[in-house]
Amino acid sequence: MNPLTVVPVSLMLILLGSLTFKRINTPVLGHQHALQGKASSIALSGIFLTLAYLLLLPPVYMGVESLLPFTNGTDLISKYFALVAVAFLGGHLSTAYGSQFARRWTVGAPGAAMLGIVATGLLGTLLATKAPNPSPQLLDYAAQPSVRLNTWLVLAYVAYIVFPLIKPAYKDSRRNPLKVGRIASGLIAAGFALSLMRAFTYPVELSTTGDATYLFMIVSYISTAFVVIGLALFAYARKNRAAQTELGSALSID
Amino acid sequence: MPVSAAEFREWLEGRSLSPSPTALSALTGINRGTLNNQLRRGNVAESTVITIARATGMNVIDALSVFSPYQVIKSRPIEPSSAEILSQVHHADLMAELQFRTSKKHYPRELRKGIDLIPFPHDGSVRTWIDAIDPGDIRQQMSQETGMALTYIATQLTENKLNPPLAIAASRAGGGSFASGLVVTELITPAEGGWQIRAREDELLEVSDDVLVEAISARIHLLQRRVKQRKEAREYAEKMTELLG
Repeated sequence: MNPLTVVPVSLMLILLGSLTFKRINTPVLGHQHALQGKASSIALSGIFLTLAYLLLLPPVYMGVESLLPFTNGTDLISKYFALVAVAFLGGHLSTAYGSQFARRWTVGAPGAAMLGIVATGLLGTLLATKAPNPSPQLLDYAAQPSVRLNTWLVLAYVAYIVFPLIKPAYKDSRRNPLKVGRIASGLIAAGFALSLMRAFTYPVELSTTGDATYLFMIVSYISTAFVVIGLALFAYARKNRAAQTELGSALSID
Repeated sequence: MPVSAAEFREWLEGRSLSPSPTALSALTGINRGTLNNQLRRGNVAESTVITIARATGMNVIDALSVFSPYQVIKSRPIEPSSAEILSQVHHADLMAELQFRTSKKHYPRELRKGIDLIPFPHDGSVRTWIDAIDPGDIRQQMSQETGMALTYIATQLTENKLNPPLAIAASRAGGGSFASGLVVTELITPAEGGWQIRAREDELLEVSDDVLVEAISARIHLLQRRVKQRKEAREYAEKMTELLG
């Protein structure tokens, strides 16, 4: 177990798990709002992403592996969870930011087709990989072309989803009347931009060796953290009724 | 339109003041690095000249009018017009005056005793000053004189500010005192700009009914716009926090 893999995954798991739990379990936000209200997709996205990271923890990974019919099926499930999380998030953010184009692109027919292609591609590349032993994120077999394609498929799907959302998120980071809202959307836009960058710089990543590879993975973790913290800031604003308190009467000068 | 560093040095020498940033910093309390940067770039901020004038007991208007962009200041009377003074009275104070004039029984003036007028600048006070001196095309004239875009001027007014060149351009277009713009934009104090200590209070008492009502009507129009904008901003913020929070 390489600590360069385990430590960031664990940290991400703590961040994602705690924020998702907080979102679902905060009395002011309420279970109903979190799971059935307008922001339910965000909570679902958080749950799927947390599960995706949870499966990557070596003890969990090994445990699930023993239940599956083929080796490294856990990695496939983890990636499927991540894809679903990203799809939920993309669809929801496109509605929130009011971008019809992003909505069609992420969860319309093109989005569904892309999800299907990537999901099939992930299965195909996993089956094509010679991986006799369990290895979270297939890191022990990273040199194989099928694993490289497998990783790139996930990055490409994330880039596909976030691409049309960067502009609306950036716009909101400029025009949101709440400071906390501007920071939150700024973080989301920055996180998306980093994800897009990683997908495009993947060829550079392939030419690196040793521990340098992990640096690129950390970019994805940072981008995820930015988006998750941005969403948590919106939850914080909602919980504290920031819109009502900061944008109260326009008449008062006190 | 900051003043040129060469003129600034000449001005300091004429008053036997050292042009060294360290000495000026000790004199005025302005950060030495800030002064250094201004001198190095060749552009000294108007606020620096004003701070030095204040620190040395000089008349601020006299000090500013030494520099080429501000030599016009003394070409017109320094004192503000009645409309300019009234423009800096808050709409709530205008309405209070309306109430006092409406009924001594229901709104006795004594209710206000010991309570000062709302100080200026207040929300929208720069815009009300512009409106008070506007001959009809003031924004276009300001834009032409300074080369600044109309959208930039609109943004400045929304943020309740105007930079000194725009304030001077507005005064020139409005035909009033050049000092008033600098007062309204807080570059100089009302006393430095020739405003009497109780200019606003006196103006409020002396203004005719028709001017008072007209001023209130104009302010209500601005207020309606602000209230509408606030409502839209709140609705947008609520929607976003509800959807993403």
